[in-house]
Amino acid sequence: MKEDFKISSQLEGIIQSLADILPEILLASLFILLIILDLIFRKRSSGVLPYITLAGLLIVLSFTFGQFFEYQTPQLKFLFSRFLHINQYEVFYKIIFAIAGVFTVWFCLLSKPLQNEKIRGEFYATLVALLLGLNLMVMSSNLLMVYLSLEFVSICSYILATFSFNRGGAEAGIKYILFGAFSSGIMLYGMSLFYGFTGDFQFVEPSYLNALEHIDKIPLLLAGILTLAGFLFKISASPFHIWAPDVYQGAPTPVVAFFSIAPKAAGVAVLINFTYPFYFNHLHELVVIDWQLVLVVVGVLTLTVGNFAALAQNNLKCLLAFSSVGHAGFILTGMIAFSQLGVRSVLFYFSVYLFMNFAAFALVDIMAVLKGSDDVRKFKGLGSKIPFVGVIFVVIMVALTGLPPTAGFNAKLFVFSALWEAYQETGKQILLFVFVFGLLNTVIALFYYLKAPYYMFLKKAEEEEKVADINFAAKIYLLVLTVPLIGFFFKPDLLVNFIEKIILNF
Amino acid sequence: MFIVLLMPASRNYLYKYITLITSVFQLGITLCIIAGYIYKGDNVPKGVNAAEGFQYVERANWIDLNLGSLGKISIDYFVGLDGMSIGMIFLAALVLVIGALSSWTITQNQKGYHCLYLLLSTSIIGCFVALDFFLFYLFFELLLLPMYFLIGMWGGPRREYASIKFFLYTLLGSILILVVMIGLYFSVIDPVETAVTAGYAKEVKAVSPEIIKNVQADLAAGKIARLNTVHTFDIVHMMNPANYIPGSFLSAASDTMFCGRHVRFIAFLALLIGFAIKLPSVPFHTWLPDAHVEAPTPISVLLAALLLKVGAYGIIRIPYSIFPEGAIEYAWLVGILGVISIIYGALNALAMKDIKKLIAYSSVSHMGFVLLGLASVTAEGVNGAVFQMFSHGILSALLFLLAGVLYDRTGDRIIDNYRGLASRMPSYTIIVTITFFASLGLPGFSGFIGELFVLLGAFNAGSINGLLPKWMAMVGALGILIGAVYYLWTLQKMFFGKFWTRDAAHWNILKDLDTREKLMLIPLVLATIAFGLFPGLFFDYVSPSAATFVEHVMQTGKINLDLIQH
Repeated sequence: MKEDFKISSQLEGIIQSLADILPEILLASLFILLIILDLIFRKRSSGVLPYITLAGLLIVLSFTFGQFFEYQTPQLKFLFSRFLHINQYEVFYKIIFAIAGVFTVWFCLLSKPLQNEKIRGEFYATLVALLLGLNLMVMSSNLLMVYLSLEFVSICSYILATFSFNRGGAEAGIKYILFGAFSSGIMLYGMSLFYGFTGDFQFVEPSYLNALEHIDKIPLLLAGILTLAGFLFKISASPFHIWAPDVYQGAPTPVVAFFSIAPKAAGVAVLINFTYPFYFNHLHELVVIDWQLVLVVVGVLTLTVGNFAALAQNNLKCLLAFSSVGHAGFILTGMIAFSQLGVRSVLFYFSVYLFMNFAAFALVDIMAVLKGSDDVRKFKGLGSKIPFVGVIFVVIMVALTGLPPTAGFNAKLFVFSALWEAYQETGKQILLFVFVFGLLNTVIALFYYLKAPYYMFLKKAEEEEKVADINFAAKIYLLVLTVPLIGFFFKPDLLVNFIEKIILNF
Repeated sequence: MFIVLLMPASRNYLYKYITLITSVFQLGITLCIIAGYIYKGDNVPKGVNAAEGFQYVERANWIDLNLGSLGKISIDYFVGLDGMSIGMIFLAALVLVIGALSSWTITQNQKGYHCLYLLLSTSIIGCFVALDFFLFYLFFELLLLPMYFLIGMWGGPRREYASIKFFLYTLLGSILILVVMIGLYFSVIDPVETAVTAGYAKEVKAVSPEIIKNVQADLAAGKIARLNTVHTFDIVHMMNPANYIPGSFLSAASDTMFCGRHVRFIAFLALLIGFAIKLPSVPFHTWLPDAHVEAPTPISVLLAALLLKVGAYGIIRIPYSIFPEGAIEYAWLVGILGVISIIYGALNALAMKDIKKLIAYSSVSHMGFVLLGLASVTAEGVNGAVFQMFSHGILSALLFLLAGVLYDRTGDRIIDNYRGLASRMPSYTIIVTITFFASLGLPGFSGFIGELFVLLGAFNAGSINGLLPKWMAMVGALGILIGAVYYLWTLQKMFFGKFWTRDAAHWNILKDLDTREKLMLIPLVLATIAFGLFPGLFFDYVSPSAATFVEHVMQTGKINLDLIQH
């Protein structure tokens, strides 16, 4: 450890680490490039910037893919004096973020409401910065770094949420900031307690856990729950989900789609990084904090709140906001298996969820243009007028419910399989309870997901009016998102074999 | 094989002709299959619990997943026919043709309707042939969505309520099935593929029965590493207790308890409820009258004739075959559910004013016989149950078509609003009379044979295997009596006496059957008479499999029961 403090060796470490954060460097450069371009060519550049962003993100994506095959070792590779670490598992999350970024920019190009708002360079620059923050977040191996990157992500999110420049947007932004500040405050308090217990921020190291061994259970549990607050806020898990409906309603739709995936995945990644070492270390019998129990409570609460609150919604965006809370519950359900299968099922879930939610929000956007409203009750009779959108709508909602023949079913199947395996291994009745409870929630979910197709197909329009069909580009976008959902149902191997190869170090 | 044939058609735009031609084509293929199906001779392939016993087997690897330390999962595209399914396939193909003909009255949004119809027919046939639990579940779930939209978009005034009720009830049932499915695939291995991964054989083709025996023996001794096990969804493997991983959750030898009972019993009950919702048996039947009343005629026909059979077929193929000890332990429960369904359904039918509701409740009553026959686990009972499924498929299709004839003309289904229809619609009256008599179980018609065998089985069960008390058969027989009351009553009220309708506007539109309607009705009438007079036509195909089924349930069930109790 002592050598680390020598400046020369530190510099050497930094230089050596640079090669491993190539995608992050690219993101940072892209951010600067966008700001500069926007400043210099303010008037002329606004049409070109999204394309530059798109191109930049595609390059980042390809480099991230390259990284995926580079880190095939079970050991974590530590960077920057052990502030960051990287292995295949983290790279997978980074791929998800990059794809989500690409879909968001593409979505922005198609979104008509957004065109009217004169989205400027800052928007894309902030998005790129947000991606950078997410990448750092999953790679953190130090509580300080977790906090810094999480705040980085939060601040970018606050800015993006207000980009619709109206009352709703401003209200959403303020609520988001207040809740965000509150939960990161709590998290920071928990982290400082942990620092007090261990004198160390390196939460992935065995020494960290050894230090916790002799601490009293109660303060330890308290510190743990406090620290969790920040992560749960990002996942929009109950009871830290309250910001979700307002922000989802107020923020521009592409941003919402992005929020519903990427920060959530990052939150889960950090949560897994933080809690899994407690179970998977050399001292197997030692469980200093029963995270499983804590997360079972959170998971069940999240499922209940998300699904029951969604039942009452008629606003499609609000409905999807609560549905995303419900999905957070399902993802936590996979996580609490605390097994390799659990982590893999979460990765699969996120990969599928990415497609589902972008498609769902794209549909929200299309409907908002067609009917001028997000209210499902106004969709009456649209199904037969614009059959393409109608059919896609049904497929996406079926996927979100988790029924065959969509990959949404496989995702749920894997999550519940992981849970079942954990139950069979440990024999804890509580896991069986979560299992049954989660499955019953699927039935409840069906009820509200069918709402939109119900109004579109089963109700007749009151007055006859012409509805313009959507343009070709939007159809392509929807197809790109929907076809994989059906494809991954029939051939989940394509995705699973990819996830299967990931070497997990727990 | 049907699936491949049907898929391209559902993307076609020639509406009703395409549907009709596809269904007729499908019926043709089915007839060829039946013609080629071996059911005589010493070495009859019997199916049920041996993969070699199935005919027309198609098997292809579909999904192979690696679970890491848990081994692998293999999901196959695995279809085949045995005596239990061959009759259902014939029934499905026949009714689908009739349904396609009946769909000609649908006027709005034909493209959507026919796409959904074809999708529905794919999944119905799929359910009857699937031998892989995952595949079965896929088809089973796939029934829901087209049905939801078919009822919801083309149905009667309260269609929205009826369709969502149908969907939620059945989905709840499927969730119960899903729970057990997940539990099962964790517990069961595919001995053939495990032999390959664990190094007993080089490739799947080289695996001989001895190797399988070795694998199973080593599995029981715990010699096979978990890493090398191949988990499977194959229903046939799930029936063999030797394929369960010792100590796994659903293995009979494990001592996992849940709510004070062994988990295998709980799993049996979960599956039973899941399928009983679909069947439907009292107390899970309340979705049925609503769905039937609101559905358009062809969909009512499919619902009654085929979808209910999927529930009954599911019970035979899954809980009874995979958890036979549950079939023994809970025979009384299944029997009581059956008897209650028979009596309660019949009494309800007696009180109904709406003709479609009457038929719906009579379906509940008739499907009760299927449960009673299965509960007896005797050769007569099981044969009778399968026959009853087939016969009720034909008769309920007839009944709903006949109700549809009246509804198409007047839009009025209330029994009391009609009198003396016989004088205006003579050929309609003849067919109604035949159908009613067939349904109430008059000898010479198919309904009689099914109910007779079921009651025989239930009555003999007391002396053969002691599963059912004798009073169940007697009370069940009472159902036939009530059936006679409501059918004859309806017949008398609606058809005899002086011609009269409540709404004078209906006087002139009540015309007799046209050619299309006759074309739909007469083949079904002929079928019920033919199978009533010559039940051997059907039993020849079913009884070898039914005998194997009974043997399997009793033997394996006893072995598992012993294991569980120790």
